[in-house]
Amino acid sequence: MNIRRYQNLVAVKTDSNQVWGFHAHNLEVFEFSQEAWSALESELTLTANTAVLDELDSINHASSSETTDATLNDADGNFTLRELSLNIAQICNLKCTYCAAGGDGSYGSNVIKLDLRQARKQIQYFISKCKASSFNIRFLGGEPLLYPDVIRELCQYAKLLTLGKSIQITFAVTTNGTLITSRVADLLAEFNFAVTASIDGAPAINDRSRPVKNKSTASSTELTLRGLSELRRVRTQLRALNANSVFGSHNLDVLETYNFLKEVITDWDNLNFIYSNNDKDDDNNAKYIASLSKVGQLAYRTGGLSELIRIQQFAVPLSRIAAQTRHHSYCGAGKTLLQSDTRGDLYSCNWFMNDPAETVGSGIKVNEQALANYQPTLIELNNCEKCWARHLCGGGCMAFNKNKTGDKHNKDLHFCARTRAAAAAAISYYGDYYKNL
Amino acid sequence: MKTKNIKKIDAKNAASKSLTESLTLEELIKKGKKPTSSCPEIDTGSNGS
Repeated sequence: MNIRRYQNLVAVKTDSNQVWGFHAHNLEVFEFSQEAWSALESELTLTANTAVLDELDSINHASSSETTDATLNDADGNFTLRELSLNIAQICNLKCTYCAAGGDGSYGSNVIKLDLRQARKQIQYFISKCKASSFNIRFLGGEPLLYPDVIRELCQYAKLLTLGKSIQITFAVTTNGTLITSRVADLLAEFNFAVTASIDGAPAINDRSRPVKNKSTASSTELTLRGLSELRRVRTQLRALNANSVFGSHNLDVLETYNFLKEVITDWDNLNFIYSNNDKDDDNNAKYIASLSKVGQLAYRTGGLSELIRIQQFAVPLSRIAAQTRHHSYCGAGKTLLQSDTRGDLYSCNWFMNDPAETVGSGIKVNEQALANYQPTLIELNNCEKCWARHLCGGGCMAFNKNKTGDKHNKDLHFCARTRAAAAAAISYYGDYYKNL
Repeated sequence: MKTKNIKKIDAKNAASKSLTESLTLEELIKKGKKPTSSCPEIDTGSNGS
């Protein structure tokens, strides 16, 4: 896929020589002629004296009344916390080769289990402050399902707090899926959880990259598949069932993982093919992009847009193009989302846990001054104003930036390359689909 | 805009010919309008689900 750019306009040329245009500010998609492609001969320059100059310039400068802006603010224009992420366990029964949580799920802390009293206080406090119509509590680890009784207690408590109130409470968990027994599945169903299970692919890949710590148990793949089987039993009672797969030097074959996951469960809500934050290799990044591109081609060929929107990397740009909604922040870190570790210390983002420089409070005491640093949009903070994909991305991930460059606002260019490749593919699929419908 | 070299893709018009396609587009638009509150790196489906 080739890309050319002129101010607000981006042209994407596919392998079949079809050219799609995209307006980076209005989020509109166009079919371009080969002449238009030729006119966009070089980066940021239009070739002079072509017949299409006026046409290109006119859409380049056009405004769109249909384009809107996504906002994280409440009705009063202020940010309001909508999600509290609680680290239930800073310990894990797996030892993934690429673990970004301190290598063992601990984030470098020796407090392995959540302080229940502190967590109840936080839930009570942040729900009372929430001005949004819904509030999500996400359980993280380590492996959060090491302590299902703690999760049950906190869910019951949060439900009780919101009884008779207009605020909707939702629950989510990110788990390796190895500890999902029948009883745990019933718990997740009872509270209508959105479950995200981490699995990297078939046993040959997953058992190598996600080995169990206790070698006397079954392999991690076997355990996770058993867990998924329990979840299938209660599938209709789950708010969502998603998969996270991590790629990097340990595995760059996204296509094989996609095919495997589809065999395991046919009705995933969402598949997230994440790139490892620890992999800094140029070639690996390019191989991942190439393999993800093959996944996009297969998904589009077999299921059209309704299959593509189950894959996070394509769903995000596709949905923003369809809605013509400009996004200004990649996530809600420090704006609508706070992370609490097992001690009850607060961070803007789960990847910043145990980093004293990134603490934004403790318990129910929020350091407003520290939090103020996160309030500008991520497009502003990460200097993404000139990127054509900025409103499809939202400014990138501070954790990736920090890990790669040492500065959370200094861009990780590998992340940018992956995001732009998926966005360009989304533009071409969107154009092709609705042109030929 | 409809010109010789540039043609705008009109998804709403294209999808309006079929109920299924209208629903798919509606689902896309709903997801696209919702701001991502969570962490997209760990929270699959945070963009709208």
